[in-house]
Amino acid sequence: MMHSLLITGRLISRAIWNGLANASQTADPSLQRRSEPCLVSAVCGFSKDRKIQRLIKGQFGDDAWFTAKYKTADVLGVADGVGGWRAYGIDPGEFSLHLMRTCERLVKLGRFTPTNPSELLANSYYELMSHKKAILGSSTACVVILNKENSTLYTANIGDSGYMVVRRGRIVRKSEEQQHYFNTPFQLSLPPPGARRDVLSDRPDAAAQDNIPVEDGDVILVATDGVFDNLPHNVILNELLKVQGERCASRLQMVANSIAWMARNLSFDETFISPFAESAFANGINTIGGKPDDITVILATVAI
Amino acid sequence: MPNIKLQSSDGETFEVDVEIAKCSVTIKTMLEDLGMDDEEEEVVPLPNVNSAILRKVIHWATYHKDDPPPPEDDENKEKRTDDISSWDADFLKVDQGTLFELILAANYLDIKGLLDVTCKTVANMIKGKAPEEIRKTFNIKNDFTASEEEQVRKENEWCEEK
Amino acid sequence: MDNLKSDFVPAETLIKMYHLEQYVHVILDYTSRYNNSNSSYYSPFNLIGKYEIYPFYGDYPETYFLRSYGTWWKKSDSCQSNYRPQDFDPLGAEDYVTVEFESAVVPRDICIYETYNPGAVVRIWGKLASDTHWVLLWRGHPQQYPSKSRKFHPKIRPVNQLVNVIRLEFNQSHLQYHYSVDAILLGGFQPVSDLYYNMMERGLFFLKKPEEASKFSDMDKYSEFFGEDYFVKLPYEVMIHIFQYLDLKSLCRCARVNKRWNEIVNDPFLYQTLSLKPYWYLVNCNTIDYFMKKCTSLKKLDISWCGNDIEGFDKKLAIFIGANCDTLTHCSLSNCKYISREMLTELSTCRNLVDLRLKNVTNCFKLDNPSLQYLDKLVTLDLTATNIEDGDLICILKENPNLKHLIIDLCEHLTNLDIVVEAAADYNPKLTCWSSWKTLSLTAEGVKKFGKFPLMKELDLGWCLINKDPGDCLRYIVDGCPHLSRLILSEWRGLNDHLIIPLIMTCKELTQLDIFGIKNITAELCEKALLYLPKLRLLDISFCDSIRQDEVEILRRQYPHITIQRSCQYSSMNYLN
Repeated sequence: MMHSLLITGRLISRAIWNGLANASQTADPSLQRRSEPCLVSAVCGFSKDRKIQRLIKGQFGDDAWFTAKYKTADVLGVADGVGGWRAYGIDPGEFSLHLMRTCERLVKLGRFTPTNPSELLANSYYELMSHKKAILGSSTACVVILNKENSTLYTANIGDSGYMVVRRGRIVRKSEEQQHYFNTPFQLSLPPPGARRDVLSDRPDAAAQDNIPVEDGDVILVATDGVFDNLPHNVILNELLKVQGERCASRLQMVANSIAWMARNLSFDETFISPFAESAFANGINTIGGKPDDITVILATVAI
Repeated sequence: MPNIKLQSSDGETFEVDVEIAKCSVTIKTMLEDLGMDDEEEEVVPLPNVNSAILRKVIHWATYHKDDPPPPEDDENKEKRTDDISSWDADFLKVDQGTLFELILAANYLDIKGLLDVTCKTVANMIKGKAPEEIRKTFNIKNDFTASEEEQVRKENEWCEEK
Repeated sequence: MDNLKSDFVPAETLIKMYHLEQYVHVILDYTSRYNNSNSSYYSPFNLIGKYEIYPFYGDYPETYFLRSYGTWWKKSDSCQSNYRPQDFDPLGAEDYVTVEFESAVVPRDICIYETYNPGAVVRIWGKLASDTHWVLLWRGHPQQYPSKSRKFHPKIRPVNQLVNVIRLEFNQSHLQYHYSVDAILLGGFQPVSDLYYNMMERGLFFLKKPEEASKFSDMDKYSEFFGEDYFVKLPYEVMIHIFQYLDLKSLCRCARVNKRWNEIVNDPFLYQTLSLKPYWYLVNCNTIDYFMKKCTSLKKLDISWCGNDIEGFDKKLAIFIGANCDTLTHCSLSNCKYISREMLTELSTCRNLVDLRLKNVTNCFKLDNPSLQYLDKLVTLDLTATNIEDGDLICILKENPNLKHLIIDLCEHLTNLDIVVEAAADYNPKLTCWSSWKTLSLTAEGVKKFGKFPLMKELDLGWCLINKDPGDCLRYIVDGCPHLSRLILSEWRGLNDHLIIPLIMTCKELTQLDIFGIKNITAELCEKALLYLPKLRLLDISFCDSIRQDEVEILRRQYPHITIQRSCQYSSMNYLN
């Protein structure tokens, strides 16, 4: 009995090695199921500053993003470094970039739970503290995980980045902004020791968590506030409708580009009544126009 | 510098500085016990050491006369054998007969430093050799029967790489 | 390798085989780690998968880092001496890592992607996960190599046996700074046919080469005619004097020479100390039985690295320790994962223990239950990376007033280190070495208590106060520990020049000062340290971002006899593209 088990185990591993994963050859039922969901995704973004363009993968200005896959999960994430640190001689992009890069590594190493994006974010945050180089700053962040085992999207959001899920022409789920007060979102912080008392810092477990079962063709948008502050929901929705059920990555890319491009144009439009201006008005601040900001768009569709 | 005379088993007499001779605990005790003083021209007989070996022993002791006293024989003593000085190594480039005579002399005369270095030299000759090689190197007769040999081989096989 | 077999026939030339190349799949065991277990930075788990950093070179957290380098750690009073110097390892292996690959292959290529201070690998072992028998694939002396990354691709021994577990042994004592590895690649062949695979897995396919026994058999006859056996003349005690210099392996062989040697070699005097660590790959239950017969008054036992994955080894060892419990004074059990709470109880009966080392015995302590409570003569206690808790440790401290060296690096279950320091200040006034690297529950209040150890010489508090405000706590160390010679304050990010100056002006015995990762330190402070600390030999200022590289160069030229460490850093993150 033991003997035959050993052979089976080996057959499977070798089959994978040689790309011969022919379902009928193996006895393992998990390999026969081909209805596993996955995400098709595209990314586009712009730095607020038109001149300085650091060409680093995973970064648009102070925004950062990642996409990663592991056996049972596809993971997307964005983070927006808080710009105020520039005054202290700290590059605000470094913290958000490291936060996302570390999330990506943890996923690739399998050191995460597919049902717990908040834990992933927290582990990534604590990881930064064990870097020999002091990575200082603060950031908002949004991470979504598609757990393939139950076709459910698990989300964690801290601050004013966010996500949106569209199905059959309707927004079926979107993140809520977390703000301490107007224009001051919740944020993860690693301030320099000294500056600690004056800095807003939220614990990683302050992240808002949610989950939603997904269906084939669902569209998922994960973006930083540069998108949500400048594009009204109906404009975003109109774009997302174009890629419902889309499995072609390049067509997805076109729409991602168009969302990012619109957001960017409107952010510099001084006459436009942006969602940001509306929100400011509601808080008693009289302002008009877009909000110049870094912009990051991750657009994905669910394929089952 | 007071000297004393040492007489080898074959009757040859060597005149040696007392301080050098005293590196042998045996001679030192003898001198103290007999209450020999420096004026008398006494001869210390060493019936267990022949002149060739005694000459070498004196040579060794003269070279090492200013060495610090060896540490007490405790468990922390250095047991490594790769610390033999190059002078000692040259000094001990002798045939096996002489080497073992030196060991016996060092043991009889109770010269710890010499006993250590000669024993280390022999230990180095044993290290890393298979039993057959050891027998060959030292002309040792194998007095095990075939079944005994198989049994001791089994008993000691844990350290052999498979 | 020493003896390449010219008659070797590679298995792949005999039967049809796939060629596979694979990276590490699972990390099985390791002796050294730089970081806490919940972090992936610098962790052995970074060896998993393809290389990430290579061909870049430098201090990257995405690779596996060894904790120690050079001879700085060996100079510590708390460093373990070799319990049996006769059995020293000629290649000086200090650490190892054991990794598993997904598929078993007949190994042909092993590539080690070294990304920082290459040259530490001294041995490569292989085995099947299901087997306990290790085969040596390569060995060589540690190497000096220029400061750049390299793909270390040694010529490995030709063997025809399946391997999916690899162990690397490291000797980093010659390196200038930390050693790091990014990935390990195993290339080799696997039989296409299941029949052959199963035969090879069981070692049935290729016959083992016959023992080279016959080589000297003829010589025995001649020995009767030529030459004399001088050993016959040597008295028993002189034979013992010779044998005491022999390593255990040579003694085993001496036992097989003849009857007299066999008798003398069994003398318990020769087995008062045992260091089995150099023989870790050979040690099993029979080995313990073997020494059980020989040891009647064992004083020192180093069984580090031994006995993992061997069935029943824990029970055997417990009996062995029990049999020698009255005489045992030194015991080192590093990386013996099977050490259980029951075994600790057995150790606790060794009332004469002065030196106990349980490094990396990760789960030996039981929650809310005292361990080792009968020991009261301890001088040295190493609990690195164990699960000891505050209360248990305090009980041990209370019973052992002579304690001089306490090592509690990476002890994640010590959740209130402040009260541990306080207890030590009350019960252990003789402490000279304290090491709690990366044990993060310490606060500035706890640090102040170190002022109560007037004999303190070595204090390793690296990373302890990483994001905490140190306040004036350093002042207490300065005033209370005048003999401090080694001080590690890495990543105390709240420190600055002003807080460190009193240290430099007062602790004149300092030889090693580690202040890396502190952003506010300036080159002027370093210059003062170099100028005013006459005995200083090591100054680590890596990741001190306010100090420019050209300033470091100038200081290095001015103080060539002092090692000024400055990690090789990258400026941005574009290396990961």
